[in-house]
Amino acid sequence: MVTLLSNRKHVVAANYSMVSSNSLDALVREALTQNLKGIWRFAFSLSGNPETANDLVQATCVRALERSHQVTSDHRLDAWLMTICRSIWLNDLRAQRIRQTQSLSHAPDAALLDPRADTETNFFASEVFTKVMQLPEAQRATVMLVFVQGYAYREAADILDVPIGTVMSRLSAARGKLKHLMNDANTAAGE
Amino acid sequence: MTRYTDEDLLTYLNGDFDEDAAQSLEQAVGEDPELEQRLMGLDPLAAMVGQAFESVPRDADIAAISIPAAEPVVAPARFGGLRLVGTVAAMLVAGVVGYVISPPGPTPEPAPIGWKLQAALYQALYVPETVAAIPADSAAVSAQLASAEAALNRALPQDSLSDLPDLELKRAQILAFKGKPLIQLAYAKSDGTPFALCIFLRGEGKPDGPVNSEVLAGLSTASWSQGEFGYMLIGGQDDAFVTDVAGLLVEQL
Repeated sequence: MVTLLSNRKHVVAANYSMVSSNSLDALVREALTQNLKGIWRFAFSLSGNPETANDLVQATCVRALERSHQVTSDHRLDAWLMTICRSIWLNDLRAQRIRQTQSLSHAPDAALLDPRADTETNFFASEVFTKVMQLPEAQRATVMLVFVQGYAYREAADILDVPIGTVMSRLSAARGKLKHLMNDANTAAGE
Repeated sequence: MTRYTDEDLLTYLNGDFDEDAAQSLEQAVGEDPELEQRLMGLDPLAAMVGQAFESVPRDADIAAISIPAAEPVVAPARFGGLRLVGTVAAMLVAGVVGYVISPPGPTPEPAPIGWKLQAALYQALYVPETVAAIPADSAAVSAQLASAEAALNRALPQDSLSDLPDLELKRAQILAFKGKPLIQLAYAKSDGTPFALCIFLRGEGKPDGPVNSEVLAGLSTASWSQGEFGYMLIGGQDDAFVTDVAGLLVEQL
């Protein structure tokens, strides 16, 4: 039985294996529906490319449903889905993407932002978006999990399979590169 | 262990800790979830970056992604033991029923799902947006509680149920498990995390049980039973918080 979030203090005796495979399938299906945008953001942060993110999320859907029988009661399904997404990226798609582009550097596509926002808001969001997407892959993925998806450091560490200190170091490095944006925002607010 | 003030944490977030001090703090955070939450709460970049990605992706960007269709499950019309509200619950029920009708070959008969696990499976589908979308309406909650009181044939004092630390009572729903009422009181924690207090009419003649902590469907729970009723507080991953609030509820209910 796979246990992904091993930092939990209590693990209940009953688990999802007591539930029928059809129930688990429905549970995973609903979790995919509810978390599709979050998984996509994470996939986008890993791949840096919206088309690859689509492929990655599609593959995550298929893999998660194939493995729904592995879900246990100490899984948080959203985190489990993120872990699958990362695994597919590392094992299946990352090398392919590098072969296609020769590198993972890319031109971030701020056109993904909502054009309905007012010009000033959109300009600032576009700048933040671009700077985040220019971060190295590991920092970008960590920023996405913690700052955008709201995972705690230790939860992000579990998803990324790194120590919590590594998550914090990556965030510190990202903060250093994004700090000027904060200063810009404060300056604008003071004007 | 070093006691970190908010000023210390802001200094770290600003990148002004030296390497040794930063490593000490990172180690302390690894050992102290409360410190981790304080540090995260003080990070000004989180909101800024979160807002920048709020509208990403747009629905059109992910329209091409399809969740593979489920294999059809035939449910018998006579099955009426389990009834939960909503599409999600209906899907879960279909799955459970499918298993009852045709368990796969050599697999042993599964243990029956108790009300707590079933309620936890339902609650696991809640996200912050689920409870955030429920409008604050005290009068509506009063009416819902009155219906719930009638279903359980017992009082559910709104004052007490609305006065839990860091939890806002959003809605009372009447569900049912094996034909018996199961009340779900939905709460939102101040950080948006969905919580629920579930009260199940388990019937007479069963022994009382003390507060028991366990993780169900990936969520922290504290459950206990008294008289005709079983209780479960569920939500988030902070076991201590759930247990503490359950302790208050034991006194109030």
